[in-house]
Amino acid sequence: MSNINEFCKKILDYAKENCGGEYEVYAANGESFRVEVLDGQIKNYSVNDYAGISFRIKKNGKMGYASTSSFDEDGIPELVRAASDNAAIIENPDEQFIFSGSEKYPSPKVYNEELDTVTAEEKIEFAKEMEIKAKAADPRIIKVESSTVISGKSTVIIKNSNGMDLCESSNYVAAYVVPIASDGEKMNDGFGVCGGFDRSCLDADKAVKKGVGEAIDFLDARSVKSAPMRIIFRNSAMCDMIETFSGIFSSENAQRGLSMLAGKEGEKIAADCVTLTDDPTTDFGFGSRAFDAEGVAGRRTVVVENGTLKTLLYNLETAHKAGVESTGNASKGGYTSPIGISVSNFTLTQGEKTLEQLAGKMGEGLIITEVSGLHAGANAVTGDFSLMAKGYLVEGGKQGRAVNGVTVSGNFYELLKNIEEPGCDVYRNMFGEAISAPSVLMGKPMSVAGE
Amino acid sequence: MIEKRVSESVLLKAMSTGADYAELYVEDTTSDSVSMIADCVDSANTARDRGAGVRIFCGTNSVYAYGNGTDEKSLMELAAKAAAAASTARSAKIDLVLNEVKFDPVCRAEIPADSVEKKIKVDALKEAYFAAKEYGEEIVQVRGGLSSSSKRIYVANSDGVIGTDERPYIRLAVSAVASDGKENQSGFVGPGGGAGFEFVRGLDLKAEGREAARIATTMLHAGKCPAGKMAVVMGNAFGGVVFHEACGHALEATSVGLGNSVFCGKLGQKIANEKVSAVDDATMTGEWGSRAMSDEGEKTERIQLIKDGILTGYMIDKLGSRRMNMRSTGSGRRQNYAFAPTSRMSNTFICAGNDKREDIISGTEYGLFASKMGGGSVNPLTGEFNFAVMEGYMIRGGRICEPVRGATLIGKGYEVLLNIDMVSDDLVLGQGMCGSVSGSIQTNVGQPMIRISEITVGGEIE
Repeated sequence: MSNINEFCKKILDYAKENCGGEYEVYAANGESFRVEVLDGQIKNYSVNDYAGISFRIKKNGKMGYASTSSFDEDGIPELVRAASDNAAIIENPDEQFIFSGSEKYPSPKVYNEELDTVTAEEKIEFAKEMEIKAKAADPRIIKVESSTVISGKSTVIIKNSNGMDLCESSNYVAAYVVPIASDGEKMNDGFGVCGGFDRSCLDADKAVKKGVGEAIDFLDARSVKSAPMRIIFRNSAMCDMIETFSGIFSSENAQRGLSMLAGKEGEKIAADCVTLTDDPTTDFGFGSRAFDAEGVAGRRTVVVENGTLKTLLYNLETAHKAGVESTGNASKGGYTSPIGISVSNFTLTQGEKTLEQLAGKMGEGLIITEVSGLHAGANAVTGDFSLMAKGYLVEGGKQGRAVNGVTVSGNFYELLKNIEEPGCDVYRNMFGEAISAPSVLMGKPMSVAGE
Repeated sequence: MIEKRVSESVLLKAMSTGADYAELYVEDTTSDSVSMIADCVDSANTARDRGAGVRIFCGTNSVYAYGNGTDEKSLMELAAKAAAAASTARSAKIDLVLNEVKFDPVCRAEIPADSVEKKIKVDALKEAYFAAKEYGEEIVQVRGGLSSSSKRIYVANSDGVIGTDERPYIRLAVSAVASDGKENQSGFVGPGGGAGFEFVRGLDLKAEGREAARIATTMLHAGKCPAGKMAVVMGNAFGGVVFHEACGHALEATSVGLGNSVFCGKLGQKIANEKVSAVDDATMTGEWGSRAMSDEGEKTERIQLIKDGILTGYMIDKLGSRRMNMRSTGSGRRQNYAFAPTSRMSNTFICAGNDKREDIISGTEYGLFASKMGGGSVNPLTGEFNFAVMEGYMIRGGRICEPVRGATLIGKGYEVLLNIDMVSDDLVLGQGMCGSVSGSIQTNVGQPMIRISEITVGGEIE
C-alpha cells in the first residue's frame, strides 16, 4: 500500500517537473481470495494481490489517459508521455475537470476489520460445509457443481496537481453454491448466494435453500403457450432488469442521445408508485463509498420520486454542460478506464405487500424469478428487451408449477410506467452493480413467448 | 522474458509441497484505443499490463496465485503462495529439465499497431465513423472505436516446456443509432483480426460504417417480430453464435470434464443432423481467435468437433485432460494473468455444406430470416440458450419480406443441432468476445447460411 502511495507521488513529481497543465493519479490495489470445493476437496484455489495506476493529464483543455500495472520507475516518463500524446488527439469540446476536492466527505462504513480475522482455513471449511449441506438437502441433488467462497479488499487512491489526496479501503466476503438436481433423466442447476461485510453474512443455510430450491423446482419445468400475461418480476430478477437499464439514468448517455430520458427532468416517466434513489453514503452497501472516481463527495440523490424524474446522474463534465452540480456518480469500469457515470447503491423503494400477496392480487399470470441473456437480449439504447425467463405460473392467486423455456419481451421505458405495485421483499444484488429492489407486480400484460 | 534458471526455481518451489504439475505464466501487454462519439474524438487511452501467475495441480485439484510482479523475488513469492495452499507435504523427488519449444507464429503484425501514428489511426476511424453518420438523416448518434494490443506471453511448465508467443490484435467497432424522435434502434459492426494495422488498411472502412447505419435504419422501420415456434433461416458469419452458444460451450472440457454437459459420453454418437460438420481451429492465419501456442505452453490444433452429425471431439485443456483421461487439444486459454486458464473456443464454426442460399430461402414457406445476430448465452448443463436477432425479416412463400425487430431465439442446443436441415456453401467468420470462467477472450464464430426447421422465437404476442 505505502509503496503504491510512494509510486503515485513519484509520478506527480515527475509530471510537475516536466509538464504543464493539471494532472491526476488514480490507483487501485487490493487482494482477493477464492476457493472452490468439489467432493470435499479443494478444486480451485486462487490468491492474488494486484495494483494498477491510471494517469490523466489535461492539456489545452483536453484530457488524455494512460495506465500501467508495472511499478517500474523507469516507466514513469513513458506513462506521462503516452497520456500527453493521447490528450493531443482529443477533439471533445466539453470542459474537462481535475477536481480540487469537496468541502466535506461522508464516511460510510465500507471496511470491517472483523473480516480480516476470517482465515483461509475457515473459508475452506465453510465451502465444504455448504457443499455437504446442499447434497444433504434433498435426495434429488446428485452433486454440487461449485461451492465457492470469495473475499477481497481493495483501496482506491486519488491524488492530483490541485492538492486532492484521497484514499478509501473496502472489503467483503461472499459465497455461492451451484447444486445440480436430477430426476433420473434431466438435470437442472440452481444458484444460491450469501455474503456481505461480516462473518455472519456467510450463511450456508440461506445459500443452500435458494440454490437447492431452484435446482429442484425447475427439474420438471415446462414452457407455456405464447400469450400476453400478467407478470411479477421477483426481487432478484427486478434487480437484474434495473441493472441492465441503469444507464438510461446517466446524463452522459442522455447528452449523447443514447437515453430516451434526455430533457425529461421534471417529467413523469414512471408509475406513481416508483421511487428510485442513489445513495453511496449508507454503511456497508456494495456500492458505498465516500467519494466518486473524480474525488467528488458521495451524496444521496433521489432520481425518480413518485414517478417523476427529479434528476439524472452526473459527473463533473456532464454537470458543467447541463449547468448543474455533479451528483457524485463519476465512475471507472476498472482503473484503466476513462471517467464515466454509474449508479452507487441504487434502490427501488419498497411497498407493503409480500410476494404471496402480490401473486394473490395478480390472480393469473407468471412470476419471473430469473431473466438471462441480458447482455444480448436487452438494448440499453432503445429500452427494448426480449429475455429468456424462468419462473412460476400463478393460478387463482397461488404460485403453481415451474415454467422455463419462455421469453418475456417489452420495453424498459414502458415497464417503468407499467409498474402497478412494488412489494416489501427487498433483495440486494451482490455481484455487478449494487441494485436493491423488491418484487414488482406489473399492470398491463406483457408478451410471453413459449410454445 | 524470464531466465531459465528463475523458471526452474519457481517451478520447483511451487511443487515443493507435493504438487504433480506446476506452470509459470508471464505476460506483458500494451494496448491502445481511441474512440469517437458526437462527431469528435472523445477518448484515447494507452495501457501497459504486466503480471504473472503460478499454477499447480495435485491430481485434478488446482491452485493459482497471481500478481503484478515479474521479477525473481515476486515470482518466488507466488510459487510459495501456491505451494502453501497445496500442502499435501508429499515430498517426491522432482526431475525438472526445461527445454525451449518453438511455436511458428500464426498471427503476425506486418505493421505493428503501436508503430502507427495516432493521427493515422484517428483518420481511419473517422472514415468509418462519418460514413455511418452521413448514411441518412435518421442516424442521430454514432460511436466508433479502434483498439489494438500486443501481448507477449511466456510459459514454463513442469512438462519441461518453455514457450513464448506474441499476439497482435486489432479491431474496429462502429455502433450507429437511428431515431425517429420517439424510438431508437441500433446497428453494429466489429471486424477484427490477429494482425497489425494492415488489417485496417484491408477494410473498406466506409462500407463498414454504412453497414452499421443500414442495420439501425432498417430496424427503425421494422415492425415487431411475431412470437412462437417457426422455421428460422440464419445468415452466415456472426450467425455462428448459435453454434458457439448452443453447442460450443457444452463441448468445452470446462463443462464436459465435470460431467456437467449434455454432450458427456456422446463421442461417436449422432448429435446433429448429418449435414452438420463443425471444427474449432486456432491455427488459422491472422484470425481473431487464432494463436500458435495455448496459454499452457502447448501447440494449438484444428479440432474436428462434429463430422457429418457425429460427435468426434471436445476442446480440452490440461486440467480437463486429467479429469477426462483424454489428451489435451491445446485449448487452454485465459483473458490474462489474473485468470487460471481453462478450455475455451478459438475459431469455432459450422463447415460449409452443399445447399445454395437461394434454395434455402425459396424452400421456406413461413419463418424468420435472422440475417444478423446479436450475442447470447447458454447454460451448458441444460443446453438452454438464448440469443438476440439484430436484423431480421419475415419469410413468406419462399421470399424475404418485411423487416422485424425484437426477436430472440431460445431453445436447447442438442435439439437445435438435430433440427438444422439445410446448410449452404457460403462459410464466413465473425468476431466476438466470449466471456467464461477464465475471463473475456477473442473468439471467432462462423457458419454458412443454415436453416433450423423449428425453434422458439421470442417476440411480440398479438
